[in-house]
Amino acid sequence: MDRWSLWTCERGGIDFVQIITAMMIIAIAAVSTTYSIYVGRLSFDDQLQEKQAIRYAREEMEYWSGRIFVEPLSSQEMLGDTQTGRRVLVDPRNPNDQSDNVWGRVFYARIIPVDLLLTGEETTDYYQIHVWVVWPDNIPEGQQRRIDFYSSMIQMNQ
Amino acid sequence: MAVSTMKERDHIWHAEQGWTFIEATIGVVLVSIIVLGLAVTMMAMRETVDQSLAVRVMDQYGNDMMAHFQNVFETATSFVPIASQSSGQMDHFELHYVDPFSHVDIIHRYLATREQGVKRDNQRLDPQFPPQRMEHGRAFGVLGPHESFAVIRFTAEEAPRQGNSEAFSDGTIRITLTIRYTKESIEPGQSDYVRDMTYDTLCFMKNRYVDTGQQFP
Repeated sequence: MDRWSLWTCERGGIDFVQIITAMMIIAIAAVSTTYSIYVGRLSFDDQLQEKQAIRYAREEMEYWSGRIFVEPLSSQEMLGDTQTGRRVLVDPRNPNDQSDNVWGRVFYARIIPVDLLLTGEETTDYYQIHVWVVWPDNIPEGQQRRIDFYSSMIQMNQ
Repeated sequence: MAVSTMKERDHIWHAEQGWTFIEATIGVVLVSIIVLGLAVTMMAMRETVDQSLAVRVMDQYGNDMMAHFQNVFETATSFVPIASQSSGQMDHFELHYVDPFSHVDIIHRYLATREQGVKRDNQRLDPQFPPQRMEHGRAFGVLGPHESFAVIRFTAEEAPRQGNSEAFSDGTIRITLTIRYTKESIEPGQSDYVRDMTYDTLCFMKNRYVDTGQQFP
């Protein structure tokens, strides 16, 4: 039997080996497409989670800005919370399944009083605030994502 | 004998005169499995993409609204809930501003309706919500009753975290917005797909504490 007749069979139409090869190509294409869509969806999830994290960071910033503006903070509050943080739900994913929730944590750094030395007296002209949100990354898994917000605020009665 | 068996085996697996019955049968079975698998995958994918798009639409709207309220509260001088107009979990409220030049009081009235979303002075804040279409070539109007978006909760209350002073609480409003996407089941007896997304944020009114004429612009 001719060695090449298996691949170039002209009398009998397509060969069994050819159809298997075609199916393997189709299968690889299907798997690639499905995986691409899966990765695309994870990327969408990333964007959704980032927007939620931004919302939490803005909320935290709003809270400390308001507190500083209205009243003096306690020395404990001025120290910040860089260790424990506030637990927030970044993405509920499937709402019927609590186990796949993506949780993040909101932290804030020590609030720094800044004196611009415009007067001879020791005063605080404004306060520097730094908040950040940390949450687990989708791609690559196991890493963390983080978003930082910086702002400053004066105190109303100063 | 051995040569004959070899030839027969070759004849089963590939024939130069056309397909054998085994080849044709296996070919048809494989093609059927692939077509069925692809069809099921495509249907599931379509469903997932639909739900995913709906979540994106709600997410965009929810975050836009939260950002809007944080911005408008920043320059507002007072917040007045209108209890008589509020119903269930749909609040009405007014935000008062002072024009920094003329010192004239400006009032904007906010409310939300189930079908039209959040409105300011009876105008929809986002005219694109609820969306008429989520993607090109596919209109919600065509699908009609099967899919819908609705705002089911819109509340504004002085409810900051516990342990805060009254002075801070008075000027800090928590806005909560819940949006619902419903896709009715085509199969009778099966439950509809319902997805709720809730957004809330704190809004602080600096200008509430500042004398008239000295407000932050």
